[in-house]
Amino acid sequence: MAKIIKINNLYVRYFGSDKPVLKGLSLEIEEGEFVLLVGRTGSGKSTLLNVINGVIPNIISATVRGGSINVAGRDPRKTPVHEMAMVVGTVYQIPESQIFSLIVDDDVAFGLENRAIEPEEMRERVVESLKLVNLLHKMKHPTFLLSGGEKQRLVIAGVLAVKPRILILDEPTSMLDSIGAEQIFNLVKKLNDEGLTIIMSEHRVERVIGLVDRIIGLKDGAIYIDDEPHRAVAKDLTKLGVEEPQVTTLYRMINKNSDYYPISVDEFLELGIADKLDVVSRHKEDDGEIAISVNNVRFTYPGSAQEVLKGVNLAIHDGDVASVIGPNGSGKSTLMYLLAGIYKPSSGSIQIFNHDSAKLVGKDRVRLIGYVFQDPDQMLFSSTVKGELEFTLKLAGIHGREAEDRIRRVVNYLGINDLLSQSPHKLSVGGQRRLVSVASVLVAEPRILILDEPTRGLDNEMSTALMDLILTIKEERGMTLVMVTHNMRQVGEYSDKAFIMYDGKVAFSGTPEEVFEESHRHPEWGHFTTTGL
Amino acid sequence: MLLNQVLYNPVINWIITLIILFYGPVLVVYLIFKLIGFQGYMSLFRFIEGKSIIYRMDPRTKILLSIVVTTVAAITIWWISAIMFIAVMALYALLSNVKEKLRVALPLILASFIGTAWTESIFAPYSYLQVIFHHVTFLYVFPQSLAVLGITQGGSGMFYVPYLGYVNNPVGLTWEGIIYGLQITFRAVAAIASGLLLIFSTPPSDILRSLEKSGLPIELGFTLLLAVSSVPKVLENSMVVLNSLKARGGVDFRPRSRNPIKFIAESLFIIRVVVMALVSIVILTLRDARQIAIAADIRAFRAYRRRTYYRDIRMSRIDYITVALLIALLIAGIYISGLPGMGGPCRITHDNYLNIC
Repeated sequence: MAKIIKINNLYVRYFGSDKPVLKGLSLEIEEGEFVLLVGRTGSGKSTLLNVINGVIPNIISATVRGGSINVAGRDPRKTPVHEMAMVVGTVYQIPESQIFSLIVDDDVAFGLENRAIEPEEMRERVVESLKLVNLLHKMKHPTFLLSGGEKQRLVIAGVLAVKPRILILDEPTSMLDSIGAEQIFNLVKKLNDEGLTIIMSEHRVERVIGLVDRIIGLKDGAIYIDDEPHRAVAKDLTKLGVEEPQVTTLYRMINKNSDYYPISVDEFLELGIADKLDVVSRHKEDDGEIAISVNNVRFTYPGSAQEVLKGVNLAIHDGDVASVIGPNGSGKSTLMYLLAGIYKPSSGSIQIFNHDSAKLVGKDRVRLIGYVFQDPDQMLFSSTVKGELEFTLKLAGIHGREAEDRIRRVVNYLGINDLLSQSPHKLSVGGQRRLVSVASVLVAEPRILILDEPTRGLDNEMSTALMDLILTIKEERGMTLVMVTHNMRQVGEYSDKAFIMYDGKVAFSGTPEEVFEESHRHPEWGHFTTTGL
Repeated sequence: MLLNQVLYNPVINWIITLIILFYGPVLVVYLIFKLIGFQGYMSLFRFIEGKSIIYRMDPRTKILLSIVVTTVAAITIWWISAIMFIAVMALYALLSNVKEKLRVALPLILASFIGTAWTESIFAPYSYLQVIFHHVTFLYVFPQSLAVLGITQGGSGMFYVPYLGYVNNPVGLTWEGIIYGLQITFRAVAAIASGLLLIFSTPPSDILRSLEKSGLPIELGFTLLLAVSSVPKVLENSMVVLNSLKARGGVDFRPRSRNPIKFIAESLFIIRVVVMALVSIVILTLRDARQIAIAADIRAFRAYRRRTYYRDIRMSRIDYITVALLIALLIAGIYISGLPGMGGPCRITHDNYLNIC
């Protein structure tokens, strides 16, 4: 087949930095290929994608040196970005910043109006694109009422409307829940089957590895792995800070020097070694004090008619790690808000270490229960990291020497001593800012810590490091962790108990193994298993 | 008299005055947030298609309608504004799903009614009222320092004030002020009702398309669109930031201490927290600006001089008839406003004496 992208000896360096991001990268991609791009944060994935669509150097300034770049016969450096977009469609992470209209079909039409496509043809293309992404029934819907997955599909429709030959997706699912992500992956596969060339960077390798033709792994601005998926995992993706499928890891444990590794459950089962495995179900005895007990809690937001929680019952023991999972809109976040005392139940009761939650206010509450929000920017307010920690302590009524001690303790734990005088908003989005947001809650030394999607947007390596750190602190300090997450690997690896929320109730609870098993019978709960094992 | 001593005790006098001064604006904010809220804002832009004449009109005709209604209401006497308001409200019958539209429109209209009426009733210059009503009855008198500070305007001369007796140059709430405020209000609500009619009956992007077609720079239209579409996100961000502050330690935004020094310290702390929260909301809202710019460029925004329009925006017969009627209305309005006693706001005549409004 014809090569649609040919890049030879590419160097890219951003202004103000002395180190190039891409170093002598050469690459060829065939028309119709589905390429998965992996690597750590900062390995150069986004830079490479933005060179292919011409955003670098036309919009984002950077020095692009070296040999030739040929994308469908054009040099993106010398072609206006909007012209390149007729050949290369691009979808970025955050759907909201790529949607410009209030109504679905208007948004698809936006790019066509700008290109002065005749109205007749435009209307045809809008319908056609919406049909492709399966949003035709929501043609007249307000864009801001779509779910995350639907929004990203709308973005794809807008991009497809100009009929590009290549589709670039830069971590398209990092803002979506597992159901939304699944929609995107299925759609992208379908488009690829129809002949579109796809280049996608993605952290959820396990979910897409079965769909792609080829994996390109970047390390420090150069190609480290470039191979068909089976051979790519054989070369060990984990060296690139990328998670590999759990069946691959499992097989590696059993058979260290194999030259073939399975990437799906079916392949694993075919190898016929599953029988040799002993499945040990962890079962932690429910002992110790009850940290959180939720009794028949119902809740309706003020001014709304719709009941969000419809009789929730659960108990979490002191020292446990509990995961709360379930599709978006099932009431997970609302339940966390109630546990944190942001809202009071409409009926029913919540006990936190035998205190009635409704009567627990101010300092007493802060010292018992802390809440780390999903997005660090939602909870960082001060101009310095130290100020941020002091702010929490002031609210917790802790002053003077005790406050100093606690700040010292928490920064030592998290290894952020040298960040104290910096502005939290200037720290790196991934790791550091997240650590500071955790520190700002931990400094009050609560007995229960709620984590809302603690590793969202972090690459595999950072996620693992953060979770290990939190778990270590938990062990040393004897905390109880409650974690809302869409990452089933975390549920399986770290939790003692998992609760499935569905339609405002706890639909099931048990050990992660029990929950994964039960979820097979309930597709409506979402895609809970990572491997199916 | 006991009531006199209670009502005009300096502290109580100030409290009542502050309540009266802030009652209007606070109630407006309350109405907008409580009755309309997030859902209401959403339904403002949840355009539902309809078949009636109002939906078939060109957006430009409807824009002209609100301009003419606003202009005529502004230049004519209050009861003509009231008629215009009622006429516009009658047009609401042409909307589909009227009930939901009214659920949003009525609180907004009521809020502007109260807001304007209340402000006008306190701040309307005493001399205006004297000319219009020939007589001014004070209901409650504010501390004189308000007049000194130039916040309100007082009467000149001796006035009888209930429970206080005769007062020299008083400032305060007057009966005529309230009536004047209500009259003036019809101008504001006629304008708002006609503006909402446009929003309810036209998809938002069609309003922009028609404005662009009539020469509005596309950049400006795009900016407006971005502003409107970022409001849901801003509201959502504000909720999350407030919740995260609450989770952090029960910041309840109410100073509770009875010790005055602590009370002030608490209040200052709350102000600091509010500023921090606002900064956070702004950061959350603006941090994706660069990506928005890139996405717009990729979709060829401003890349070509020529643009086409997804929907046909064309003047039809109904539009020409409506435009003709509107022009007639405008001319009639201008004529009526020139008639003695039918004009809008007071004007100063050559002998420097206020004309009758």
